[in-house]
Amino acid sequence: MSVLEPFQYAFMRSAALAGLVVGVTCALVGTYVVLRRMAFISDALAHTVLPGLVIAYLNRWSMTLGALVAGVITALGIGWLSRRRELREDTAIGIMFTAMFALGILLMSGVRTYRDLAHMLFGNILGVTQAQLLLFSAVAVGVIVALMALHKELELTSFDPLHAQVIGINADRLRYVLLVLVALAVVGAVQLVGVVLTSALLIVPPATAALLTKRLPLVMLLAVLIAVSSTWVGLLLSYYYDVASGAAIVLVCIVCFGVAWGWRQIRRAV
Amino acid sequence: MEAHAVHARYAGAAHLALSGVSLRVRWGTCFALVGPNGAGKSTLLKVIAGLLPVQAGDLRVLGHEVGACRAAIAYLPQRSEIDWSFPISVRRLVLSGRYPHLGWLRLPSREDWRVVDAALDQVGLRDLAERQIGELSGGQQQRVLLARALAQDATLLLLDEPLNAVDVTTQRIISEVLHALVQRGKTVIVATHDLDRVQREFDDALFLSEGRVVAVGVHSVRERTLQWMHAANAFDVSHERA
Repeated sequence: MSVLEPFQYAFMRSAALAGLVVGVTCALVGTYVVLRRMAFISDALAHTVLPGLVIAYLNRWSMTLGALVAGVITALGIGWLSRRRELREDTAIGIMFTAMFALGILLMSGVRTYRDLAHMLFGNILGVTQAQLLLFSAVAVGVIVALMALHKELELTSFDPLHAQVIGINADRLRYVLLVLVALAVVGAVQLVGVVLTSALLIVPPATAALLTKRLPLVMLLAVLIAVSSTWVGLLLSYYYDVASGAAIVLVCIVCFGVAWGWRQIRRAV
Repeated sequence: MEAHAVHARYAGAAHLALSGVSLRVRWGTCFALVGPNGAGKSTLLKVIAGLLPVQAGDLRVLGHEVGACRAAIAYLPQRSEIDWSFPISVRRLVLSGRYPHLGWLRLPSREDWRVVDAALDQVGLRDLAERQIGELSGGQQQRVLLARALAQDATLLLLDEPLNAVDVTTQRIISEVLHALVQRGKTVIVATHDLDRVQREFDDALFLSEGRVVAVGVHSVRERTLQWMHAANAFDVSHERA
């Protein structure tokens, strides 16, 4: 029995490719999410794409596009609600999070069966189609190019927004851009591991990498390696042990985090 | 730099943080902002830096309206304003002083890195250039911020309590660097509590209390500060007795 045996099937190859694309995108965007302490917002975005998915499903539109629109609306909504600091950002996130998720559940309850929509909540990486894969790839390229182009501005606004503002970099506008990039990454991840587990793919690999190094480029590189390898290992576990793929992927990520955490504690103690 | 009857307020705050503040800072001088905590020193620096809008009054920085000459202004915030746990090196932080000269989407050149290393040399931190910024002491972190201002080659430097809780070496280096900058025609405005230093090293000063100007000029500021310290001590003693 070869480890690569499952990849003789087309659906496994598509799943592995989807894991690569989404893993890279989530790890890169997630690094900023973790370092800027925006974990709650990514969790919220993962949940608020639900109404977009349901509306697209009911109207037979592209579900990816439905999720994309809902994600971007959420990102802009949070930025708009908290723009004058009259409403704290976490409050704005809480409002958008619950409102959109409730709307999604309400719309789902109107559909006769929950069965078709269950994969929205829990993901179905094994059912990724070629069209979805192409769309993810295009979105991923856009997100990665934007991150590379804005790297120094995003880096600066992450640790010293005041200096950024003084020299003319609009930190608020950049936050909007980052929120939209997070929304785009979330849309890809939702198809893989579902609404419920998406934030794990954004948060856990960068959080693990940040425990291992104090250099931003290395944090990003390690996060990518952890995200992609966790996705592939999770896929193999799901194939051989016949368990849910999304949950397997996230649990492999968590094991990586546990190992990194333990290694750090040992290093501190020695 | 000239301010006339400037009023400013933080978003959502009921009271004005600055109320009718007027001052004039000549080019190539070292200017001190003195006053108790909450007097408005940091607020005034933020208004000059363009971080807080002027609600009423007139403020001209380097002869222009606020925000018109951003590359020429370096603002050194209190250390608590920066996320020191962020995973970047000292050298990379100082490089951010070059960003106004780089513009969007451009990578730093060899010349930019040379300027960064020269700035680190000037504040005595070249050996720590590759350290993560959180691994430095408070004084070293303050020097890194000063190195960034040097790398920026700013005309106006705004420093928010740079000498607060730092070691003697850092105090000496900061004083020397600021003196050298003023000699080169740069203008420096510093929020400080150090009265002796104000008298020794500053050309002009202003005492703020509850967002208003109470005294102007090094001598008047010294008198006013001593009065305030005396009153504060008397208040403390009466409280202890009570």
